[in-house]
Amino acid sequence: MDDAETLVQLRRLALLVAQGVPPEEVFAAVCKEIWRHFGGSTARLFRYELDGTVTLLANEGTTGPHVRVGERWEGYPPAGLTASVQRTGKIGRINDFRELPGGQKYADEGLISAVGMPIHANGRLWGMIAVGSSEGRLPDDTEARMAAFTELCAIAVANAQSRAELVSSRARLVAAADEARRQIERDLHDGAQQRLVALALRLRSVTDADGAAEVAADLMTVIDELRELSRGIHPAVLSDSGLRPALRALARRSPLPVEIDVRLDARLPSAVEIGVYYVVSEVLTNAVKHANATVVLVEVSVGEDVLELCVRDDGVGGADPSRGSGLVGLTDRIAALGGTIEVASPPGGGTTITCRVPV
Amino acid sequence: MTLRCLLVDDNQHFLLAARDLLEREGLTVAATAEDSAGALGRAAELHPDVALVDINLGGESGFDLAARLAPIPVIMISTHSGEDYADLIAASPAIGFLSKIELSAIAVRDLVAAR
Repeated sequence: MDDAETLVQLRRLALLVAQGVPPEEVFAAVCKEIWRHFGGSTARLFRYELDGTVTLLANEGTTGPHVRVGERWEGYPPAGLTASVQRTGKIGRINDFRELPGGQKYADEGLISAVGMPIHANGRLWGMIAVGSSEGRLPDDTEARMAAFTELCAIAVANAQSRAELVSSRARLVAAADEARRQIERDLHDGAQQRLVALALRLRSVTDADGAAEVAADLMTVIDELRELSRGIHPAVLSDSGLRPALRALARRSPLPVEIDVRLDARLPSAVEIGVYYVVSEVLTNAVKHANATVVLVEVSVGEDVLELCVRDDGVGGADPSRGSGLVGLTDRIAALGGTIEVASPPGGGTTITCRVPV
Repeated sequence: MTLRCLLVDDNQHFLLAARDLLEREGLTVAATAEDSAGALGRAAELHPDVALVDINLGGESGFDLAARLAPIPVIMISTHSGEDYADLIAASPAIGFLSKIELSAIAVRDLVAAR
C-alpha cells in the first residue's frame, strides 16, 4: 500500500474525529482502516480499563463466539497478545495460535498468527490494536509498519475518547451547578424563610416582653442558619483573605483534627483557590463520614507554575473514585482548571488525594 | 359562628405560629396536619369549614390535596409569591390564595365569605 493511500485513510479518520462522532464509531472506523491497511484477515481494537479488565472495542474480519464487540474480553490466555501487551506495554507477536496454550479458539476462527501493538494515551497504556492473519506467519516488517500507522490511529482513538469525556464532564458540571442552586433554594425556603414567616406571624400575636424575647432568640438561630448557608455557597474568608485562612477555618470547624500546611506567598487565581478549597472540604467531609479517620493532613505548595495539593487521612481507605458523585465532581472541577487529581485508597491504608493544578 | 379550619403545612414552626395567631384573632383551628394523608384523615373526622393548604408539602402537591379535600373549601398558602402560581391556583378547585406572611383571620373569613 502506498503513502498516498495511507494519507487518504488517515484523513478519513481525522475527519471523523473532527466531526465529533461518538467514540464507538471512531473505534470501528480505526479498526476497519487498520484491517484494510494490513490486508490481513482480522483487526481488533481493545481498551485496557483502569480496573484491570479489557474491553473489545471493535472487530473487523474473522470472528467467533468469544468475539463480542463492546463487551468485556475474557478468557484470554496468559501467554497471548492481550495479556502480554497489558503486562509489558510493548509489542507482542504470536506466530502460531495452534501452539499457544489456550489459543485454540483463535485457531478455530482461522487465525494463524497475530501482532499486537500497544496504544499509549495520556501517559498510560490505553489499549491495543491487533492484526491477525489466516494465511500464515505475518511478515517480519509487520511490527515496524504497524508502529508508524497505529501511532496515528492511536491519536484518533485517544482524541475521540477525550472528546467524549469532555462532553460528559461538561454536562456533569452544568448539572452539578444546577443541582447546587436547587439545593440552595430548598435550604433557604425550607429553613430560614419558613422560620422567618413563622416569626413574623408570632410577632403579630406577641403581647409581652417574654414573648418578644422568645422571638428575638429564634431570630438569632435564623441568623446563624443563614450564616452557615452563605458560607456553604461561598466562604467569604476565601475571597477576602485567601486559601490559607480559609483552609484553617475549615479545619477548625471539622470534628476531626486537621493539620494544615499551606506554603503560599501570594494569592492565586480565584478559580484555583475555590477549586482547592472544595477539594479539601469534600475530602474532609468524606474522612469524617466514611473513612473512620483520626487525623487529616493537608499540604499545599506552589512549585514552578503548578500548585500541588495533598490531602491524606489515616482512615480505612477503599474509596473508589469512579463511584460516589463527590469524587467525580471534584475530578470534573479540577479537570476544568486543566489539572489532575489522583486518589490512592488501598483498603486499610488510608486515603491520599493528590491534585496538581497549573497556576 | 366561629370558622373552624384545618391547617396543612410540612413546617412545624409555621403550624405552631399560624395556629396561635389565627386562634388569637378568633378562628378555631380544628386540627393541623403535615402531609396529605394526615390532612385527609383529619378532614374526614372533623369536617372543618375551610382548609388552609401549603402549595408545596415536602414531596407532595398541595393542589392535589386541594382536589381530594373537596367539597371542603380550600385556601392555598405559600411563602412563595402568589403570582408564581396564579395559573395553577386559577385552575385548581381552591377558593383563593394567601401569602403566609399575610395570613390573618380576616383574610380567611373574607375568602370564605366571597366564595
